[in-house]
Amino acid sequence: MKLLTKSAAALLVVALPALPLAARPIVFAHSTTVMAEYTEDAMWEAQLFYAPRYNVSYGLGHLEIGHDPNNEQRITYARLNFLARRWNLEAAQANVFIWGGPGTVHVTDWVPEVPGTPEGGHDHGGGDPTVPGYQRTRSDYVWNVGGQVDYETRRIYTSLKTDAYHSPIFDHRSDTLQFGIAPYKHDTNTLATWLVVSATRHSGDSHEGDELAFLLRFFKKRTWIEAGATTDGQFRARAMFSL
Amino acid sequence: MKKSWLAAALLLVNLSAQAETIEMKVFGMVCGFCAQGIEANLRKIPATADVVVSLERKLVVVQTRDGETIPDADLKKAITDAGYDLKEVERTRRSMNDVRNELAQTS
Repeated sequence: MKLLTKSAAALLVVALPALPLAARPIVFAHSTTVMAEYTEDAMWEAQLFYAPRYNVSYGLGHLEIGHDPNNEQRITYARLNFLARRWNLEAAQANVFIWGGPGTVHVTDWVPEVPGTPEGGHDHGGGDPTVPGYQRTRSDYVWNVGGQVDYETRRIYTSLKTDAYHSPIFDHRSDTLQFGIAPYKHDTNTLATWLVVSATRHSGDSHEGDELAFLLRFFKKRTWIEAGATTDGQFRARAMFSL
Repeated sequence: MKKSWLAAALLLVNLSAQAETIEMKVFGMVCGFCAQGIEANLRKIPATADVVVSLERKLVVVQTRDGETIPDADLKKAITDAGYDLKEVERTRRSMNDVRNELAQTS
């Protein structure tokens, strides 16, 4: 619950300066959007959303986070996305999105045996299989909450996004700041090209740390693709299609 | 005299049977991926024959079917429901080819 409160507070702080967004959780009314994201050796996520209105969408998602088989989290969730505020300016647009929903989480970790403890007790020791112990998988409910603020012209783009998962057995949060530049102005029937820098801070049970990635983003009509790498050399890609 | 009235009547019939070109200034259009909602909404209106969207000119142009029109309220609803702001509406008799040629020259 503490994490939920912190996330809500962070979202409020994020919403104040009105920055812009990455891949939007709502594309346009009556659209179905399929999204997949992958970061090598770290995570993959798939989402399917339907938008009955331009400011609401709902759907399902699946996220797997994990750096090794003894430290993995698999989350399946339902989510409601809401466009809380939009500013349509003459040559720019800014948005505030919020989302949330319930789900289930499966956590696999390594439980080391602690010698000398009564009843052969053990201690939760994370994902270090070099320590004698056993692999454990647990399941529980999870709540997802997040938000995104973005500001965009046809040449610059910036977004700030926070996404948190809270359950009795697992907490995870990531905050992402993105900045993009378009080398040229695209139009509705031409290919859009963006050079994007993405900085993410991870915190919680899965892993802690900062991540910097450089991405090349293309979109045209109803197809969106981006790919690049983190400064640690991990490949990252995202694809989105609206139907 | 009879012939003049007949010619005038025919001219009126002909004019009213012509397609109408509606040019709209729309704010907030910066992303081609998201602006598809505008075209999708406008094409759902039965009187719509063709739609052109230009991010560069902040312009949405609709051509109606011959002899049909689209009220301002329906246009505003289509744009607003797509998440954008309609600022101006101008009705002309320009052909969509002229509009497309002009947009091609300015892009």
